[in-house]
Amino acid sequence: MPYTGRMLRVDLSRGTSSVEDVDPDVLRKWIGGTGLGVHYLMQEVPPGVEWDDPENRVIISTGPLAGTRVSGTGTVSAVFKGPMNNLAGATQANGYLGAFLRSQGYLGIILQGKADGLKRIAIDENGVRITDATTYAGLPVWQLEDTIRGEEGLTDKQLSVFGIGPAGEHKVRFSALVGDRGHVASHNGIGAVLGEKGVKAITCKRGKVRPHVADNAKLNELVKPLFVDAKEFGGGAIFNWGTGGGVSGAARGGWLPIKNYTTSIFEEHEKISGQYLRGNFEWKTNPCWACQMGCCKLMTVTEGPYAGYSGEEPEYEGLASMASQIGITEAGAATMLANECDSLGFDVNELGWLLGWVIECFERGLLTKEQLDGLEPRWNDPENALALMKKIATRDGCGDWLAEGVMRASRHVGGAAGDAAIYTLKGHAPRSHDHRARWAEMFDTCLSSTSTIEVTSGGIQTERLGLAPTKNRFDPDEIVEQMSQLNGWHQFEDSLGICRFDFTNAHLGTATVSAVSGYDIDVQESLKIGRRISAQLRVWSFLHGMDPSLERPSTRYGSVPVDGPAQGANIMDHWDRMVKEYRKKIGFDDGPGLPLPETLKALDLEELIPVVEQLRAERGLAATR
Amino acid sequence: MAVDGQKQTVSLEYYSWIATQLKNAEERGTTDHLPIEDGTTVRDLLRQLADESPKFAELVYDCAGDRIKEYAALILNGQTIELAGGLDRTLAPGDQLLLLPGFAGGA
Repeated sequence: MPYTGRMLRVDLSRGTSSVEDVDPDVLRKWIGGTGLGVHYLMQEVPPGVEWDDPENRVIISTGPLAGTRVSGTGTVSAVFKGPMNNLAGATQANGYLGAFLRSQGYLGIILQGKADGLKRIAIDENGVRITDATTYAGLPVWQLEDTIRGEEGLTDKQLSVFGIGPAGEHKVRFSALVGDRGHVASHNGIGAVLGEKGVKAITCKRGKVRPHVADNAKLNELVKPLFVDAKEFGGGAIFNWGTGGGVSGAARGGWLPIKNYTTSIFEEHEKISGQYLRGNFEWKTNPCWACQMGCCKLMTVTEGPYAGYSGEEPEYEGLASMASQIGITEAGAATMLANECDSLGFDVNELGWLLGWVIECFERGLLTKEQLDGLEPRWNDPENALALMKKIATRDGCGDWLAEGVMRASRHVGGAAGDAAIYTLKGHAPRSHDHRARWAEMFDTCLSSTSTIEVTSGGIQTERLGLAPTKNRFDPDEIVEQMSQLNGWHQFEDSLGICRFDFTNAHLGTATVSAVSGYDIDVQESLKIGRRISAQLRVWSFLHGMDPSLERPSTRYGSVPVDGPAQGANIMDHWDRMVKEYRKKIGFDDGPGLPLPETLKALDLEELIPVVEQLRAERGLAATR
Repeated sequence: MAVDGQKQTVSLEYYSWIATQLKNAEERGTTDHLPIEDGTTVRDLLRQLADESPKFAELVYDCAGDRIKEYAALILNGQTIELAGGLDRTLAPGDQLLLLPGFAGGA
């Protein structure tokens, strides 16, 4: 028997909920997670519905692996229209929510409408309750979690709690959905969308429904080797040190963001690395559902001015954004700032770009103390960074225009300050790297339809998919070839309900998906499913007014490093040619980049062929090849 | 390779998990000094190290594909190797090579 799914639909305007079965053909075509989200987005969010429209949807769904005994399978993917670019966002969070939803018999939640006031959506064995959450107003997420679990008398392993912080309540454009002790669906302002809808918290109690497994014997054979591969992948770096273990390598390799890209040299990197944190602070493992990797830790600072501060161990992005990007050289300060960021409910990537830009502008005299309500933020200045964060989270004073994100804030100030901001011209935030030394990621970030990287990552290599390997990471032709081959893999992966770090072996992974789902899925089929998701999202983006001329980095984002390992490297010399070639290689036209009819047919998306034809006619988008 | 005082050498620093995996050293790394001949290229050196160590071949240099694997990154005198002449680059006495973990992670 293949796997089946039920979606929970919550109408916040009416205060009602209902349950609907997912058509088996829909499930086979879109699998779950991001795929299912993109399916519902196309079905239910038509052109003209903007990010803050009650008719916008937030589809939070997991996939076939979630809640099974496969390591790291508590993951959800959220798909929605977001405020950073008024286009789609697809963003994932680990923890327990995905597993607990399945344990209550649900594959996901579709949120629609707009509530009258703040609400909590509470899911347990008795169904769904939409309860008043006004008493939680203003609570940072960590306190929100503690408060709700305290009221219920349940632990964090019995009740998954996700929510928005003050940032989401105040519709900060880069606010996030945060929960289960430090897990964050961060991209494209999902927190603002939930804040607009009036959703303060989503909670799900652990239930008793066991997720479907088609072939238990086969799954038993695969669980351990899949984990062992993940554990040993990349020299065991994630297993041993978590993502923060990559900070020093990034610093010495030139891809750690440092002081808003003004330099690529950061001598103090070992003081803020994951190795330093685990070697000097107190910590204990805080694993996600069934996770044997155990890369998530709870941590207490034991030295320096923030000694005694407790929270989550910052991940790589937290250390990059809340340390090197803003010049912080003290691990306790970085830990404090990264935790406050999550608890206030920000996307740490965009917050880092924003704070780094403010500091650089203030240091250069492009922003004044008066413009910043009396604050004088400097590099390596945690208290002023924290003060700015608190103002932004509540849109207090200068926090109001800063809450619009760095693209809009820099345009608000204008002049030379405008050229110092790091963003994609579509509006969404790059991840916390110096992509001038990682050309594939910059290229991917700008062309993506997910509002974050869509194709690339270091989590899997081309050779592991049986594809041609990469030789030169600064060769435009190789990057285009690599990306065209990898295209689809991560969208498939994000449809399964598993953490990427537990899914490092494509062949074992797809065999595991087959054993659980009852589908027959190999690597090629998984790529086809992922490419289907990407192509549909691309068409949806055009339907919602996406301007392909904006698929470029800002001036600073696309600038040339002045020092460090990638000094002098300039991707912009190759950009336009790379875009054309990439689009051709993935079966899109080489102009605006819409899927060609034969591509849509090959991906079983024939229904989109007339949609694309109409788009081309209406917007004058030629199908050049 | 042993240090030979009569020969010209380059240094090769192993860093982070590359050091723990390949040299059984601490994460902070360790540095070898390696003799080179006139005309030795980066490729020659990597091939030699891969011939001597299956682990080096597994994690760093793919002999058949003639490439540095995605797990690793190589820096020569502070510049990423792709921008410093690539594997064809002829090494000079005193050159400093740094072997790092490659780029990882992300969602």
